[in-house]
Amino acid sequence: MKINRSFFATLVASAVLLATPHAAFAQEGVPATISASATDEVPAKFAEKNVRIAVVRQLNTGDVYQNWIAGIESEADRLGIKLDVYNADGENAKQALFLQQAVATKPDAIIVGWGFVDSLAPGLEAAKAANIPVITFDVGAQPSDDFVTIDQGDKPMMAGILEKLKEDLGGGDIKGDVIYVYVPGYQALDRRDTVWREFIAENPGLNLVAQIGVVNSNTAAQTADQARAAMTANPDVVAIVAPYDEFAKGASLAVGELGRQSKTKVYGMDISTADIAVMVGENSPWVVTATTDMVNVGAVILRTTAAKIAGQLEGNTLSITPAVITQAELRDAKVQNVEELRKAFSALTTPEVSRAPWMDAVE
Amino acid sequence: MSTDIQSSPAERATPYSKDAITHFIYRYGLLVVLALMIVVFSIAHPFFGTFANAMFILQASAIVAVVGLGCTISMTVGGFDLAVGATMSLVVMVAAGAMVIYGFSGPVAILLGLAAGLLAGLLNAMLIVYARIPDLVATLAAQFLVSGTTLLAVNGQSISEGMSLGTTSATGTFAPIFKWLGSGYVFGVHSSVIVAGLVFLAVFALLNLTKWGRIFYAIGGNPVAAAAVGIPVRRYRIIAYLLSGLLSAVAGLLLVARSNRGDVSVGDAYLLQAVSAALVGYAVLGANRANAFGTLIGAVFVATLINGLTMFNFPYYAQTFVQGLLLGVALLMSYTLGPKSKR
Repeated sequence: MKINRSFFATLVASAVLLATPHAAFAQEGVPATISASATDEVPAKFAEKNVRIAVVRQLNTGDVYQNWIAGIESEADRLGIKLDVYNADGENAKQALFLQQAVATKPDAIIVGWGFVDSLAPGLEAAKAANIPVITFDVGAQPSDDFVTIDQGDKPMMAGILEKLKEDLGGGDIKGDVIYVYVPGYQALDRRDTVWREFIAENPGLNLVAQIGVVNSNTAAQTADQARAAMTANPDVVAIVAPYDEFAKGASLAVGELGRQSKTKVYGMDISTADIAVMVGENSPWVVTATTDMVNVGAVILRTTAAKIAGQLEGNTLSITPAVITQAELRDAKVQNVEELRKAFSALTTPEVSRAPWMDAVE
Repeated sequence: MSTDIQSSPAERATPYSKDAITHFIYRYGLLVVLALMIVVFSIAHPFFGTFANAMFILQASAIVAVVGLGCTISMTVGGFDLAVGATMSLVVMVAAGAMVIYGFSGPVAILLGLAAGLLAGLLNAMLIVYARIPDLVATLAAQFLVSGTTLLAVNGQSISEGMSLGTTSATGTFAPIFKWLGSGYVFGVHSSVIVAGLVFLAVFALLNLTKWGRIFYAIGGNPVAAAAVGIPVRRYRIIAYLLSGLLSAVAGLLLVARSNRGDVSVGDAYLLQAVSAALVGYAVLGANRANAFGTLIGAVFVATLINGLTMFNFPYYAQTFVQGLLLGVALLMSYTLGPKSKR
């Protein structure tokens, strides 16, 4: 139960992002970078240790969310920032109230983790009115001068596993029967889907024989049922593209049950300790995954927020670069859990992102 | 208003514990702790004691108080409604669906929501009164039936403005009345606090000032004796569960107005909070039974505690423990320090 939860969170948290009231006055997102004016001189407010950030998160129970806040807390600690953390226990109404409460305490900035603009709108408006910058993670607010948005790199994650698929099929004009697992309406999945549609259009030799998918509390098992049926009807399937770890686990299960491991490979996403066990398991068809590390995500969010407070952030949107990890790499590194994975794959940690020179000089 | 609660004849006749201190703790302990807590938090954090924060605390307790008052009514007849959370979830989906999917107006959505709550209450009542299934088991079944029906009706999906409906998108939006319930104020008081206040006054009056209230308590105290003196016990038990369903519906409407979307199973978490509020309420003013004022204090107590603990960055996983501690202490006060003859 590690990073896979993050995806489900993203799923849950992003079901309606495309249709939020805010979309009406959308501004163009500009990639966020540290401005050139940032030096190694610590901004006065930070030197005086006089910075307070409120964190209002929709989701808090589970390793993923614990890792996320741990990343934020350790970076805040390093930079001498005081944090107020509001935990909404997955309740949107509670998060909405907490956001308004956080605004009323007038912090230097607010970090919002997950949630929906539908529910958060009154608080976001209040923050804007009070000139408090808001940094959102996987909320789906439109980036603007007031709102900096951060998300996991869904598109690069999808591109990464599809590149591996192309490579496995020999490159060039690839062909073969494929199954795709997808449920529309979840923004993270929708973002991944745009990459998939481009990919399938560019590779006309690929024959999409079935699109399956279900998201509920029993996603893996039900995906397995659907995949088994689709594979039985289409015996020549060479690949199942399953861009969510519950999908990938279900697909792997179905391939194993039908004994098709030598013919059909699974291209999955996300990773948890349980997923690692599936991927490195004997004769596992799950050959590649793409993921981000939530501790790193938390640290990037905090640095981005600090830069915004210091007036040294240009742009307003940031996608955290994921790592693509193959089954072979996992086996070679003899990784058994997410902690070992973090040590073995340095690409999961991005300390240079949103790092102003002064952030190393704070004492 | 508080004196009415403990001055029923049965209460006055009860011999209190000999120890005056025990007696004081029994009656006022929880209120003293609440007052102390407010003072300490106010001194320790400059924002805690502000009017704005008081309003946040009341807002945080409003929904729990309303559904808790529903639980209180079912408890007065010796029942227990485990279906209140599922009923809230149902009402959330009915109201959100009515507006977003079917494009109904706000008042219609409210009426449909209240009707759904009454229907859930009726299901409870039928199972208990006519099928003669014990309250706990019957409402447990009703809980599963109600939440299962909700999930089936929406395919397990949340309802939100602009959601995908297969080939098209939903065009309905949340009505102005819901926007007001979610973020409206009257003289600086949040709309949900006003609604909760009105519900409290109504339930307080019902239980303490009317014949119905006396009959409810009589049935809860001894249903056989109540029947023996000619009280139509079944009818009043049906009424109690209908009221519990209705108040769950009001709570569900407040909830959907605050989140502006219909989240699957969102009300479920309120069952235990509401029951806790009602049980903490046993210990308020030594009532030693379900009562409206106590439930209100129970809801505000928990909200104050969570608000303060959050302000001091108490980890969320420790907050549950502190709530458990509060409930434990309240129950100790009711059952252990209370007059022995009451049991």
